[in-house]
Amino acid sequence: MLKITDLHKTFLKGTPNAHHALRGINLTLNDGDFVTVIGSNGAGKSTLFNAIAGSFLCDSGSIVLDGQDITFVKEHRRAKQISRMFQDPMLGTAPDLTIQENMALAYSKSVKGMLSWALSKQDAQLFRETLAQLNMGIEDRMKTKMGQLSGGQRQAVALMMATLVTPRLLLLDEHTAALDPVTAEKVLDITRDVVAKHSITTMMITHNIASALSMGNRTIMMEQGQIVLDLSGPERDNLDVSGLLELYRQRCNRELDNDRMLLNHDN
Amino acid sequence: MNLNFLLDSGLLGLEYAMLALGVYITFRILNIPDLTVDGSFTFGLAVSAVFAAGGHPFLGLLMALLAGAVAGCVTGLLQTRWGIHPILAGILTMSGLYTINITVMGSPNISLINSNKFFTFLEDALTKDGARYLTVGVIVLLCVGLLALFFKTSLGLCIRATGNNEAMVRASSINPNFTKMVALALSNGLVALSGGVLAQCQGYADINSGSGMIVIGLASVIIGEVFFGRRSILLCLISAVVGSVVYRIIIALALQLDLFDANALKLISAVIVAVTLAVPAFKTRFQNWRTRREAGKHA
Repeated sequence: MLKITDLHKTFLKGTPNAHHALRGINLTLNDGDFVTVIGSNGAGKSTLFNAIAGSFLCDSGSIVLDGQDITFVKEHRRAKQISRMFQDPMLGTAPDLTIQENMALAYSKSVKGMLSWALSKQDAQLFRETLAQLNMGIEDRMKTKMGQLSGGQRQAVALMMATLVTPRLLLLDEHTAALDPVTAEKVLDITRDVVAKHSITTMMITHNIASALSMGNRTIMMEQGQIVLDLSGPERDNLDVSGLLELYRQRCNRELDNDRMLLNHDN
Repeated sequence: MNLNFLLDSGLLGLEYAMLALGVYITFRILNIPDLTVDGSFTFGLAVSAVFAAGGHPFLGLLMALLAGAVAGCVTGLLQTRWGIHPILAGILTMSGLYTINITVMGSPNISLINSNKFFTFLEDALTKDGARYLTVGVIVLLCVGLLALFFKTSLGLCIRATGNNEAMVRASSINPNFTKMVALALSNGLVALSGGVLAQCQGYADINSGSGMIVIGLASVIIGEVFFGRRSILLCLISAVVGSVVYRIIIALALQLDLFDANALKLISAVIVAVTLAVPAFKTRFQNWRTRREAGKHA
């Protein structure tokens, strides 16, 4: 459903600081794939997500989503099909709007007209029911300003917002990295449930190798703007954390040098 | 002491209420202090006066609204498509509008003494003051009501989110450049309508009427927030109107009591705005100072 062909992107092209961030990415996702993306800092994971979501235009190559070439489609138009979540809980929500207004904003992606009411009674009910699935009691605080929620709560709500209108593709950019381990685990559980429930095609960047292997059906590893490893099926099922780190060592001729990953190594 | 001045300043406050509403939209909702206001206020004033002088007072108000909206769109284009800093974009439009305004008016001032105004048709039934109060009051009510409804629509919600988190608006598949344009057009349309109403109420238009309008608008919004805080949108809109009226009454009282010279008005308005905007910063500093002092005591 997503087909990326020979994608290249160089930042600050033509200057001494030129940085070749994506070097010929080829990737095909099948419907319902849940791909975890790993790699050290600066490997190009977030850049790849930005390219898919349309934060910038790529220098060459193509991105096709559901048979439609979106290589040059504007970011806000791609957002109709692609939902994203970021590491920073502040990025995905509007702090001065209430929780239900935030939900309404996410819901405006549906076919609603610009001048229809943002928050009808049915909508409010739908938003309550959606948030009730979180079991966090947020559904009783619909008129609270978003900014008053904790980071974990905001991220949980942001996840429900991202999937309120089921997207064709969900991009999760380390969406639990800023949360404490317990909350992170909870948000990951919710992620698993929501993605499975709507069978959303998903890509998730994570620095936690263990969850990279335990979640989803496929893992890709990026290094210096390229995909160096693409694991799925039994090969992936039989792999443990140390096995994956060994594979990385073989492919890249160096240790996976991310301190966060090393910390996560044991669990 | 004659208290009639209170009624007069109340009316003046209502005439300026649309200015406060417009400034509220850019300053508080869009989070951009839009300096186009000084120019678009005079633009509305000029257009309304020219139409009224030509015998079309109602059309004059409508055209003033549209003229302001166009001015807002220009600022919006400069900000979004041309990537010019929002404050500079406003200054550029405002500055350019001076030439447009003087061209529209044909002379630095227009008198409307013998022309029909939008409230003239009621003058026989009510008094002149009554007619002005009623018509201006209806216009203000309409503006507040329609705005309150508008901000409940999807587009209105998107505009509110734009000033809050632009990335999120984009993620909701709406172009934030578009919402900014709509907000700026709406805001400057209201500001120009305010100028248009004022021109006909006072019976003349002067090319220099617009200078300092942004400060007056900000002062009104801020004074209103003192009374109402910043809760729901409807309350905020009402608070801008009340702020505009209170601002006029404060000024009239001060003038009546000879507290200061009429020439000091602009300086005093500027000081009011600056001091009110500084309150949060002062609060933090005061709290830090107190914390430090407490810590010193226990050391």
